[in-house]
Amino acid sequence: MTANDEKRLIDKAGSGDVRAFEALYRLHSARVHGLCVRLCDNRADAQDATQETFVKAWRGLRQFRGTSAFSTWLHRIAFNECMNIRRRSTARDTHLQVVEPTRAGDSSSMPELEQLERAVARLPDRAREALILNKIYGYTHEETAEFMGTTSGAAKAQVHRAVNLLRALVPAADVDSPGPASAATRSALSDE
Amino acid sequence: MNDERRYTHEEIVERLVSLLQEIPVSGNLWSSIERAIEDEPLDARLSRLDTGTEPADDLWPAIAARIRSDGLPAASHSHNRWRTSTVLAACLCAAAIGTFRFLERQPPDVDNATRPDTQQVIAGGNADVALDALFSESENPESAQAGSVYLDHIAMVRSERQLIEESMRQYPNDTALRTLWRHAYETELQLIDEAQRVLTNI
Repeated sequence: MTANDEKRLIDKAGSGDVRAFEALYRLHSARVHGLCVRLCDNRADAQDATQETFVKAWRGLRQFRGTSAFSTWLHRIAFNECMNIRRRSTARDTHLQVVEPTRAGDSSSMPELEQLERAVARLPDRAREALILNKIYGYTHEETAEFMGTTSGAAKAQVHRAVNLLRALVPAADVDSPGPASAATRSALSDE
Repeated sequence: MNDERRYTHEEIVERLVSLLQEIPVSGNLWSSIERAIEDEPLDARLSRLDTGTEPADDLWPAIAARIRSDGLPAASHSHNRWRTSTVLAACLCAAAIGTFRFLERQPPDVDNATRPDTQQVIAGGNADVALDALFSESENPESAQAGSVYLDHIAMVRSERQLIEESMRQYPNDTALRTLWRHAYETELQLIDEAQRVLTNI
């Protein structure tokens, strides 16, 4: 689908065409849900966040000016929705330990990527958010900062922190087996 | 103003946000961090992770039902403005009530001598994040007390980092200083994260 096709769908949906909006949903739901799976604590929350994202997108369609890509706009709504859901979650810390393996995305049957997903899921919240947006979804530091409501410098700092922790958790030379995390790494992760 | 006054929850959140925003440093130090962020093998592996995950259930029927009951997408900002005004008014009320209740509960033996100026704290804040935090805040005064402890600790680590930075300007090639600086910097980030989480979860 070209950018023009997508714009036509957005215009039609903006005038109330539900079928056009369904086409947009089919086009973007997997990436939106993928982001929600990584940011939320469990799959039920991720589904709720995805659903809420598209309902809010429908309500706000006429305010979408096209200054950013439609997918970026959707991801921003999804990011905020996940943050809201996480804040509302009262039993989060206990829950995390149980669902941690499923918090990662569905990346692959490849053991090294699965290990990487698990390591990403173990990162402290802000570092994980920055890494997901910047390194997995390819947003610039400036865009990542906008998502996170911070400066690009602070976003870079969080990516840096995440990269350092990941290096310790998933050593490059031995991706198939979890390397022994250093004391500093364990300490940095212990707040999770 | 009450002499026993300590920070309210939202002031601490604002201070944490401003501390995090102040963390980036300029010049050679920052460019070394930028270089450290680039890790080609790790980047390559991260880029192989799936970015798309289909939901287990088709969410469209539920979404369609909700948007059909909504009718047309909102035509103007008037509804949002009205809602935003209401939310802001609610926030102001909540902040006023929260501050009042917090002041009422202050322990009498609090030493405020080392606290930074409140205006300075508020000036550096990020309104959006602070508002978000306001929604999620607990009325439990423990969160504000824990936040104050974290602020003290962060201030201590930050002053250490700044001392190291001064030394680094004098001895720019000293790798041990660079390692020390990085450790202080990472500790500072970690403390800010922890404090934010404590404030949200208590």
